[in-house]
Amino acid sequence: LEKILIVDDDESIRLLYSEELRDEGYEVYEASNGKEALDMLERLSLDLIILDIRMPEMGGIEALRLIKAKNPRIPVLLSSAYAEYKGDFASWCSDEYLIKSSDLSELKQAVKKHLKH
Amino acid sequence: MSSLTLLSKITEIAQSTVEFEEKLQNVAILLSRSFDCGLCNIFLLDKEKQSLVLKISSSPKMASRNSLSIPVGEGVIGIPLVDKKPIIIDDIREMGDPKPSIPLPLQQFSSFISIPIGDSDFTYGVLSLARKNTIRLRRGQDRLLNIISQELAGLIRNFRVYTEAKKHITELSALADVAKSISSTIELDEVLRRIVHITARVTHARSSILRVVDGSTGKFRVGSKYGELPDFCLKEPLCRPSRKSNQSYECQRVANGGAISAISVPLSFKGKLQGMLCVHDKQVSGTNKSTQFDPDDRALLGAMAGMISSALENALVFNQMEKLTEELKITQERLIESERMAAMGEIASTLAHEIRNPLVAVGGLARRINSAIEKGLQGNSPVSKYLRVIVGEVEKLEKILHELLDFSVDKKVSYARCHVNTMLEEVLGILRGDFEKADIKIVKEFSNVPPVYVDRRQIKLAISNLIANARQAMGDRGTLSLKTYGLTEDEQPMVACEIGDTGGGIPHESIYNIFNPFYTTKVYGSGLGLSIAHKIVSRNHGKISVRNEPGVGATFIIKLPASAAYKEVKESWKKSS
Repeated sequence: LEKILIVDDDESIRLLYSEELRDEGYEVYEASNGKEALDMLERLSLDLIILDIRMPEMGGIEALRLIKAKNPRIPVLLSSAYAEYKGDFASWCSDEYLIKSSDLSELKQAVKKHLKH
Repeated sequence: MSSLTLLSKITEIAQSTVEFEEKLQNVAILLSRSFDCGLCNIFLLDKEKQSLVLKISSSPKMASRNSLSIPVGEGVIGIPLVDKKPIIIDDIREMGDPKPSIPLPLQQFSSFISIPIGDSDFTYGVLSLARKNTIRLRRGQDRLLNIISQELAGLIRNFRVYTEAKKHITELSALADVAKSISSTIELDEVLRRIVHITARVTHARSSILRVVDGSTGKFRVGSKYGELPDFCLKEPLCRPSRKSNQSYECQRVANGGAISAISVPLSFKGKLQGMLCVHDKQVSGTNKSTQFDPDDRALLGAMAGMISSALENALVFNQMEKLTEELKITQERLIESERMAAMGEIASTLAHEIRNPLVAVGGLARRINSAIEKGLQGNSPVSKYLRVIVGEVEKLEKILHELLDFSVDKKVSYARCHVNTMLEEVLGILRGDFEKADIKIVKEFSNVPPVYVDRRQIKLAISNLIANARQAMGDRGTLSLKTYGLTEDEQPMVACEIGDTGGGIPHESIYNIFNPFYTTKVYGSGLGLSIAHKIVSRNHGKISVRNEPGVGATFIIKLPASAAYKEVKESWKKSS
């Protein structure tokens, strides 16, 4: 099973994403901030990371930089409530920028697309 | 009548309280009787016309003749003024040629005595005696007549000095009135109104108009007017002084069957033409008749022009300043508005984030419930778990909305005497249950502090926000310290209330942002709590600050003015508002 890590400080979002992705047949892990995500990156051989931007302790942008420094090949999808940062994601070296929505089909498609590569 | 008696009678007349012309009249009658002649006339010099005008006559018939005027140096009346010595003609019929000419109304007389009325400096006119028969002057009577002539000169001189002084006093008091009236206000419209009003009054004009030079077009516009102006005065100035010269200008124009007299005076300040003031149609005081303005009116208006100009300049400058201040105020308001808009934009963006997360969860989980129902609910269905999350998220949304309203609505503050210790106890009463559930100790150190003068409901909200903040920072373990004490700041008695936690303090990089709306380091909450507390405390004329010990905890300190100082505080609020 492909391993996906969901990083979001909002527990409800984590619950929604993990249930949905588990139904799709992935092995899902959760972290509530950037620091926890980096710890898990060390311990698990992850296939994809879904990363929120605004989080306490360590935010998404900082975490993205550190994740890509450690493992440049792992796909990282930014998932944020902020629509206005979408234009900047390429310069942050993320693979996709998704605006949070209750319709998860876009998220699931992006996950599928980046796991194929 | 002896010479002495005559002189004493003349002195008596001169010192009497009757009007000037009546005095002259009495002297003329007295002289005609004393010298037993049919007629005694007094002619006064009109310097401009260089003629002698009959002013007084002992004969009522003669006096009723209008304006008998004789050129200076001509005939029995005119020659003595030039020669400065009397003419005595016993009988003109017996005189050899050339005979001096006799004015027509006097041709019935044959004997004449004409004496110049004057002193060493000035000649005022001629005293003339006429008789049908020969006048025989007794010895010494020619000297007597000279003395009388000097007495008359004194009488005329005194009258002229008195008239001049009276005129000066009137002018001065008019000028003082003008100065007082126009300098007692600086409001432009009022200054303009007063100028036209008072200039018309002091010159007895029926109407007046003040045209001012428009700063932007350089053309005259009507600043203010008084009375009923003739139509043509409204359209254009009746007389227009040269823009370059500061001379006033006088003119007459025929209108409505009568001549309208006018004076126009330019108003300028430091060489810059500001406007033009015109008065029209002089009224004879106490009557409804019109008359012409005289040179005195023109001089008076000219004298007033200077002070009117400076009053006008002051008012214009003040008006300009008021306009600029108004513009500045508008610009400032626009700036504040644009800053507010920018802040609103930032808040809206943050708010969108705060709302989107719960909405995504609510919507996403609702979809999952829907598909679970479609598939047919099974025993281990997670639906109830999803529903619990949905309810929780909706509560979160409601709380955001509630806090946002609290923050954005500028509620009216209703001040009352309150006790900080009581308010702290009341807030604790509501939150105590939550603290007891967690392992959080509450340490209270309340002093006997004076009451404060604040909005009770608002301050309680601020306190409860700070306590909720401390609770969240500590998680499930820690100590909440509440402390109150009195202090003096800037000589003003204050009451301080400290709310401290052991939640590890505020990260160094966040310390400057803690009171900004939506700034949060927490997993829960909108980030408005501290911001609201800050706003409330400021609105209640207090101060809020934080004492931070990174790694240990943070203590928020609210300082409110004690109500003992309420009177002074209220004064300072009034001043600041």
